Amino acid sequence: MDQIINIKDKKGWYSKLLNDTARPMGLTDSHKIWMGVLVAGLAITLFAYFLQLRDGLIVTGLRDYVSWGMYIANFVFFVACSLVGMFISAVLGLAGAKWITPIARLAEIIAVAFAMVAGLVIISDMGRPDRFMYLFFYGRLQSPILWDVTVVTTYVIISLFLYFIPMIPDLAIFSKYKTMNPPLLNKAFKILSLNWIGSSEQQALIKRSVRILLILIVPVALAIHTVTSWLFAATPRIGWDSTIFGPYFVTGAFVAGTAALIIGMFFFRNNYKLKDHITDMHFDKMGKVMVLVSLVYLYFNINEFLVPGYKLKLHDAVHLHALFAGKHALLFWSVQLGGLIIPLVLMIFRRFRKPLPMLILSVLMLVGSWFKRYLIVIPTQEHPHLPIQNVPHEYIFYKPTLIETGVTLASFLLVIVIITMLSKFFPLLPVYEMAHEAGIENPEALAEELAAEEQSKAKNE
Amino acid sequence: MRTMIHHMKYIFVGLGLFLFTGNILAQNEWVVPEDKVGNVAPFEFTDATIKTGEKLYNTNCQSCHGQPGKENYIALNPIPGDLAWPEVQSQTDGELFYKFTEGRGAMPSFKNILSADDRWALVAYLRTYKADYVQPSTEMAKAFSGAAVLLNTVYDAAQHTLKVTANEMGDAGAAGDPAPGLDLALFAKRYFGDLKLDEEKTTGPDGSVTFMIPTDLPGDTAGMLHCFVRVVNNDDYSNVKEEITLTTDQKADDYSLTEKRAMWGTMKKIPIWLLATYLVVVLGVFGTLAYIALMVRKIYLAGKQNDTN
Repeated sequence: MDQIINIKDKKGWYSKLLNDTARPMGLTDSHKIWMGVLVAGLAITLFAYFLQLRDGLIVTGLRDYVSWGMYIANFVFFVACSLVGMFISAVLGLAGAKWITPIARLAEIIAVAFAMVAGLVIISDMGRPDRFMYLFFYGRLQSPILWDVTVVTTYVIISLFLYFIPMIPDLAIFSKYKTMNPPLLNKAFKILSLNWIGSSEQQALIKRSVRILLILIVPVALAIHTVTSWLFAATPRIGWDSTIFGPYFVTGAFVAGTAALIIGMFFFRNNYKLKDHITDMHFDKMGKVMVLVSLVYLYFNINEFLVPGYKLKLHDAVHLHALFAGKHALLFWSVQLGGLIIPLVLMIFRRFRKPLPMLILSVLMLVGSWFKRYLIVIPTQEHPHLPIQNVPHEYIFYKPTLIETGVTLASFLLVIVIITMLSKFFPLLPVYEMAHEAGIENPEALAEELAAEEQSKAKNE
Repeated sequence: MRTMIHHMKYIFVGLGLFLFTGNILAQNEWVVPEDKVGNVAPFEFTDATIKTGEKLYNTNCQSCHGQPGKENYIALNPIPGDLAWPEVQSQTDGELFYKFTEGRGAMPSFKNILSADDRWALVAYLRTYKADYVQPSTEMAKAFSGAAVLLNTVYDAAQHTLKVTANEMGDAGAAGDPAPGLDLALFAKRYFGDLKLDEEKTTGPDGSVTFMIPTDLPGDTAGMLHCFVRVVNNDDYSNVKEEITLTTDQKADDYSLTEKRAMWGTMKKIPIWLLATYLVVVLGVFGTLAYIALMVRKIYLAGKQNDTN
């Protein structure tokens, strides 16, 4: 297995890890400014949602033909990004990849944030959100919608468990290691660490519960994106009527989620100064992972377009023409080439798997992933099997409005707020797990020892 | 010279455009034949008529024209328009009646769907949206009025024929002389409007016609086919209608698609296998999560125990 550090000086390394993790935790000035910017942005974009609530969905570009627009595309994108939690912790983790440890929690944070907001995105698409509860009163299990609500909720709960349970020992360590700003955080850590003392019984309990969760989350995560794909594939519409939509969505989700994680890794590594823990090696490995998932996704893309393109049934031809050479061609080819094929090819080369090139390529892939959802959701609706007669032209073609874009932006800001809060007030690196993997027997005791040493050092000075 | 030609070009283009738009305008104008413009209802509009008209409006017209006066007609091209608008209300009763009867383009003809009385009832209802409306005298109509025709039907189940005899109304409602030259049509009552059977037929010198009844037309669940014969070439007799119930071999299938549990049913009629799958999966997952929650609690308790020790 890859050894992250050459551990000659275990104590020194551990001390640095604790310090690096503790340093950005709690309130800082830069954090306040950042949150101020986010909250201001949220205030503006939520005003857009207020306008939509007041005047109804007429303020959006949604009409009789395209009734699922940017909101639903964004929902699919959010669900996709949230899959990274399962992918890193469960798929790679259960396969025995040890290098994922420092980034596993970040992956879980991204998953929780995107999955939580995905539910809100759906509400933003509702003309009468006050009737949201009707979904539970009158919903039908025969429809994929109710299954989608169920699996997304379940996924959020499991992801929160997977975020919280491995963090219990870390909370115990940091509650004693350093006085946070505000000190209330130490108290919160102490309560949340649930009397953690690192007894062998407790260790066994954590190990067991995490293992069960990691196994449980695999089918649930596959289900959330498969069911989301069924919202489309269970209709006979051109472009959606496909038997491979489930795996097509799931593999697409791995690409989007991995890209989101790489961007997060770059951001936190630089801003939280974690270069010694989230290393070039991690970017290199993530690059290889990305090449793998992108290749699988590319394979599904070829299937999805080649087969109907070869048969060219009448309605498929209209749809494919709009994508390949018609109205959506520019976006389609930009997404396929710039958002998938070119980054994929570049990532094959080692020199592009360094942090900065990885960031740029991942941004391309994430943006590409968003627009890919747009291309999956919208063009299909412009070609119904039974067109409405004598319908005004502006009812057929969809163009998102400013208000709609604002509301969509709000959902992104909300995701960033959640990620910021979770990464700021709780330890971002799983120090306990990392210490164990580095061969430190009792991380709790060593942390206390280190804290005492620092205190005495400070006193002497 | 050159500029002259240039100008000429514009003139021609302009002229062309003018003619073209003129043509479109002409197409848009809905001309009612002169002899129909002055037609009036054969009866006086009463509250009951208006009520009947409202009901008919709601089932036949509202889906496109919306509620009168609210301009909530659906967005079609050309627009259906609101029937309370002045350009509608300024037309004569006869014009409105003609347009309901004939229809045009996307607007269907109601000749066979609604009887003349029904169409007049619609006029009566719509006129409630015209403040200064006074119904034109029904005198002229009354002169032609009346169920002056008697229809008589004889069904031959073996031959699948229906013989209809039209007689002028004699004294005290008795059948008088045969009424030749009347166009009769036979309709079967169906869910969505009436279904015309066979062709329209003109009564001969003996006042009778014979309709063929299709053998493959399902009746109701008891095999009964509810039909009626109506005079169609003369609006004044359009309320002359003879109803008849025929027996057929074809019983309607009374199996309802929403009766049993199905994928398209309501939640109460969900297929058992689907409900079971959902419950097993959800209970399984949430049961596991409850087990995890218990283990988290155990972590807490284990720490507490050690603390007190």
